[in-house]
Formats: sequence, C-alpha cells, structure tokens
Amino acid sequence: MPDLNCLSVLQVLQLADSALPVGSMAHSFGLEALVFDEDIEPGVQSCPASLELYLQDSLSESLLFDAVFCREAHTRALRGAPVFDLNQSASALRVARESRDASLTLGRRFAALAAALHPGPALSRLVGLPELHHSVAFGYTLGTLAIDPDLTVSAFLHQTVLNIISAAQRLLPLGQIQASRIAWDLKPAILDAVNQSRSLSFSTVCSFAHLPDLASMRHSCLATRLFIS
Amino acid sequence: MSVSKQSPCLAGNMLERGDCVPNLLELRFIPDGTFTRMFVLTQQPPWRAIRAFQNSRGQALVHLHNVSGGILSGDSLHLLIDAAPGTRVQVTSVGATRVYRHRPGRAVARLSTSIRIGEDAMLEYLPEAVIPFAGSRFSQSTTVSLGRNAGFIGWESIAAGRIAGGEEFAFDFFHSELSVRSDIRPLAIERWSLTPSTGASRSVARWGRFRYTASLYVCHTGVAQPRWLDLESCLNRLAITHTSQSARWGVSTLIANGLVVRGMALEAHQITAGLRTFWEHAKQEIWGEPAVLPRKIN
Repeated sequence: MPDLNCLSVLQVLQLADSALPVGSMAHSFGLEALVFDEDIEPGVQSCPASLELYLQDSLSESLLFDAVFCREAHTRALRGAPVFDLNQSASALRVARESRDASLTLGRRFAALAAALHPGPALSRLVGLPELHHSVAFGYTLGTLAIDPDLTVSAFLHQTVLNIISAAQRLLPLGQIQASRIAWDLKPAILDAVNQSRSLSFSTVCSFAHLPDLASMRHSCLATRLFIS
Repeated sequence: MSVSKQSPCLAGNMLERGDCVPNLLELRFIPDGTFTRMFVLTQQPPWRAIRAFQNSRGQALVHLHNVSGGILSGDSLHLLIDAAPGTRVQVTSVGATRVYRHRPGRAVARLSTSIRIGEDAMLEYLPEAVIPFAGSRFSQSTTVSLGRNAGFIGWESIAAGRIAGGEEFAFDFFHSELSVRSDIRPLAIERWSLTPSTGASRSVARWGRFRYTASLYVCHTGVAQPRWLDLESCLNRLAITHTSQSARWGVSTLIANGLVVRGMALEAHQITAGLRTFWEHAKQEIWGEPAVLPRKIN
C-alpha cells in the first residue's frame, strides 16, 4: 500500500509537469508581443531582470486571478458543486481573445487527459463542459484527487511561470542557468500569490493588466510568430 | 427603479469609513414615434441633465453635467440609465471627470453607473476621460445589461494624473469595475485596483511607460461571433496603422456578442483620435450607419 501523501505529490508532479501533453509549450500568453515591442528588455544583460520583474508583478495581477479561480474550482470539486459560472466569469475577465482561447484549449485538453488517467463521474462531467479554463480544470481535477488546496494553487502557478520562462528562452537571449535562477527566485512570490488567493473571492479579485492584455491583442498582428498566443 | 444601496466596492484593504452623501441621477428613455424621449426621474446635485437633443441619426443625445466640476471625497454619485426597447440614445459628459484630492475624514469618492438597454435598443456611452488628481481616492463601477438584439458602444479613458502639471501616478488609489452582460451570460468584466504607493504602476505587467489607457466596447446581442471575428481582423489592421512608438492599439473579440479595442498612449490626443476612428469603423460595420460625434459646442 503506497503512502497516500507520496502518491499525491507524484500525481501533482505529473499533472503540473510542463511536459504534460496538453500543448502549453505552444503559448506565450502575450509575452511574444511584449518582447517584440521591447517592453521586456531584449539585451543579454538586461533581459533576465526585466523578465523576472514582469513575472513577479504578474503574480500579483493576472496570475493572481488564475490562482483564485484555481482555488475556487478546487473548493467546488470537494463540494461536488458545478463550475459553469466560474468558467463564464473567467471568459469575461480574459478580454484578449488569444489568451482566452489558449486558456480554454489547455483546460479542455487537461481535463480530457485527467479523465483518461483517473476515470470517474466528476472528471467526466468536467470534460463535457462547453467552456473550461485551464485554472479551473486544474483546480477541479486536483480537488477531485483530494490534493491539498495550497499545493494545488502553488503547482498551477509554478507550472504557469515555468511555461512563460520556457517561452522566454525561445524569444530572448536567456540561458538555461539564468532561466532556472529566475524560476528559483520567484518561488517566494508564487507563495505570496498562493497566500493572497486564500482570502480572495473569484467575484471580487482585482487585476490591472492593460499592457499584457494589449500585447495579447496585438500578437495576432505580428508578422512572424513562434507561439499561438 | 430603486437605487442600489451598495456603493462600488473596494479591495479589502481599502475600505474606509467616513461621511458619504449619495447623489442620484436617474434617466429613462422611451420611444415616441420615430424619436426617443428622455425623462429625468431623479436629479440630485451635483448631477444635472438639462434636456435631450435629437442628433442627425435620430438618437437622443444627453449631456451629463457635474456642477461641482469634479468628484470630491465623500461623494457617492449614482447614475441610472434605462433605455426602453427600441430607443436610440447617446450619453456623454461635458468635460473630463476630475477626481479631487482626498480630504481626511471623508469617504472615498465613488461613482456608480448602471445602464440597462432594452430589446432592439441601442445606447452609446461616450464620457470624457477620468483624471485622478494627486492624493485622490476613487472607486467606480459600471454595469451594462443588454436585452435581446440590443446594442452598446461605450468607451473609457483614464489618465495617469494631471499630466500637463507633471503629475503621474500621484493618486492614492483607483478602483474600477466594469461588467457588460447579456440576458444569457457575462460578456466582459474588468476589475482592477491601482495603488501606486504599493505597486509599481509603470510595471510591464500593468501600465508600462504610457500615460493614458483607454477601452472601447462594442456589443450587440443580435450579432453572431463570425462577424465579430471579421471585424476584429479589420480593426486590427487599423490598429497597426495607428500604432507608433508613443501609442499602441489592439482589438479582440469578446467571448460573445462583441469586441473590445484597447489603446495606450503617451498623449491624450492620440487616445481621443484613436477611439473616434475605431468607433466610426465599428458602428458603420455593425449598425451600417455613421457615428455622430456628440455635439459639445455651437
């Protein structure tokens, strides 16, 4: 009989792995346009600090939104409550189409994979939703697996940050050690966002991200693109 | 129509007690033959809506006046607009919304706007910019509900402060909520708080190097998604031509029934000109008619 805590950690490690085949590596969530416009500084010396600052501030704005939605979905999974309204709110809050579509695509693929790995009525219902965001799918799935809520939100944010850093490595002169350093140094900021998400409601959480939203809207107009969003 | 007792909410750490005076302006628009007629149901100072004019497209154009010249701490302004089925309305303000410095002991300045647009009605809400002065504390909320086959065009532009006076991000805080919804679902929600003293407003994750930000929402519950996607492509081509080192524009369809145009710029005139251009194109495309700029003088 395996230790249930160890099993939970292993399940989280797999579901939060950036190599999970849901397509997250194909999205930059507006970073590509921010790099194109040089809002993220493109220089070899300056880009690591510029990227880290961007991610750190995002963790108290747009990524905090995701954290709160992930936690709420987790809570609802424990209660067996529906997440229909949660997804509708997330769609309305993500005004930039490419970022919204990316979140919906990842959510749908994540739920389908999770339902295949852990068959059951709860995840089958999730797969059947017409609108399902990644943060909601992740939170609900890990709630269904009875994973700790703080660990769930931490894992989601960590995975999201790693994906953006990975995208940055393909867009900027950012080396592997520098990328790892950024991911390492951002862990306290991730935990701050996790802590904040405990006391925030999905119906009142605030995020000012006009420039990243604008970048996401402009992304489709870039002449050459590495990423879908 | 009863006034909501709830003022625009604030982020949890920004609640502040103090004297607060609710002031209501309640407007109702109803069809009258080929015209739209305005009724002022409630009008409390500093609000003033004198009369509605008929513009060249048959819209009832009303100018909102704030006779105090701006929003003061302790103000709790409520604006309720009800556009009955089949009406055509254009609402504008006569000048920028200036949010004055907070006075100790007074409540946060609040502005709550609620717009209901009935079946087959169309309303344009085109106020001037919001300018938060140094030391101001402001909370605003705008809710728009659309009936069947109803249309809404609304814009909002916000300055980082009194730019000409060298003032940028000197306000204490600015909280804003916007929600646009149809009978079926929320179409767009914006909810943000800026507290320059505790978070870097100039961060790339927030406002960046610009001084002005603006959003234009164009919604019609009778128009299906493929048409919005076409319009997004069309307006994004326009956005490219309007984008420069000092101004940036982008367009995106909403989850349903509309799109949003977002602009950020260093100069106010770039925002004004851009909003007008996108508004004209979108209105022509969706409603098949020209946009008529609200008359301010003459």
